[in-house]
Amino acid sequence: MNPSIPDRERILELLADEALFGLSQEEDNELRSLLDNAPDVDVEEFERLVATAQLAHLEQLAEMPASVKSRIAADGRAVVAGDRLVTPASTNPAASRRELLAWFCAAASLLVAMIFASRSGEPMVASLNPADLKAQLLRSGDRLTTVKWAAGPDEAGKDARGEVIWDNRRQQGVMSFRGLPANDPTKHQYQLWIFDSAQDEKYPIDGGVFDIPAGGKEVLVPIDARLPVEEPTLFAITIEKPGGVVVSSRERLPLLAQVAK
Amino acid sequence: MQPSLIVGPRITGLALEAAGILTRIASGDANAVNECLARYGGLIWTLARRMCQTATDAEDAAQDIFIELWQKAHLFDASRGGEATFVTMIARRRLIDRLRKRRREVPAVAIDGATEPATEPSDWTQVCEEVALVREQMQQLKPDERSVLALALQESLSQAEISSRLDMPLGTVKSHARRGLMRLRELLHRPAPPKPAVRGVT
Repeated sequence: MNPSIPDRERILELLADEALFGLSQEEDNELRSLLDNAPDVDVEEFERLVATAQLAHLEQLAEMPASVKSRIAADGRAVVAGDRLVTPASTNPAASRRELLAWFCAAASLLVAMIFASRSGEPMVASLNPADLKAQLLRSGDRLTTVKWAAGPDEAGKDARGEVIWDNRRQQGVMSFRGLPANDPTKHQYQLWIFDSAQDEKYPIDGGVFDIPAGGKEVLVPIDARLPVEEPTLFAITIEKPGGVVVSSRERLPLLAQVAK
Repeated sequence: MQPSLIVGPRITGLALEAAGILTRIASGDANAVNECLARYGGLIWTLARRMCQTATDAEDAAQDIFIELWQKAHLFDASRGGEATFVTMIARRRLIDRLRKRRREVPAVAIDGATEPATEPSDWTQVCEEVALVREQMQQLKPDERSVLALALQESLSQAEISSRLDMPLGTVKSHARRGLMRLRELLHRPAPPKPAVRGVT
């Protein structure tokens, strides 16, 4: 069905606004609804036009700092090479509640063993190295939850940056850190906690214990969720005794990553 | 005072449209990553610095943009525009999302004063045809349309900020922006006039 002339004009107005300024949620909904009846509209035409006009307005190019460039290059090699090296993502459908229940029971039966095994600090789920896992997750695209770390009340997080990438369907994720102080594993270790909408806030899911080596480079850590995560709402890093804890006192909380609703 | 568009030598190094960097990335050629960064790093960094409040924000934004670029490299279609246009389109989309999110969260403050060395204009010796054409056709727009577009593109101002800067009602800003873009679109779709015949050449 072709849109009426007023609808077509409105589509063009919204596409022009989107390309130049972006749209509010309400405008975006309106546009998507109008486009349902306008399959012939080139939705990227104004974006291309504005991009070209943007190039025409650039006077000078700033030089990207070498440190930023090398960090991005490392990501790029993982993402691009991942297309060839990493086994294609499985196409498992989202787990049904029954499957989740079965998984929960299996996880519960393994929990005690896992708690002991995890105290060694060894990653439990990472069959891929963290860079390959990150590349694989990034290739899975839109269904990812990506959240930047924000400093928590503990001083250790004040200069730290990075992000959490979590694929809820596959129940896998990876964290990146820069600027988080190196720890002495004989004195304390970092531990991830995943707050889940389906869990009492008092009992977040243990996401694994990990170390940050000295050297200041970006560190990638696979997430090792000990229970199925239904809907993550917050990721939190605590500093705990070696081996981690089953329930954290949350006295030392260097980093938080709140998932947008 | 209303800003005017400046016509003259501008960014042109980007016009050195590399022989399919994005195509190579889409095919999994990890060696193309550094070439892509070398070619488009300055462009993305410039846009990120312009549309982010702090250098840290710009770093995060640049990283996000490049990751998206690598993931979407297979969508690049040379018949619809040059690589630099595609890269700018991806970058703007990401940056506008961040900008709108930030405007909802915190009041705008001045960007921090960090500066980076700029690419020497003498390096920009080639002109990208599509950019040159758009620049030329923008001169055909009405002055108010050009002013609004210039503020949106050069300073990444919102409609409300442009309204305040130009002391112009918000609705008028929206109209000028839309009409300017639509007029530009029409001008670019118009067939090019025939080139004058050259006498004495056989």
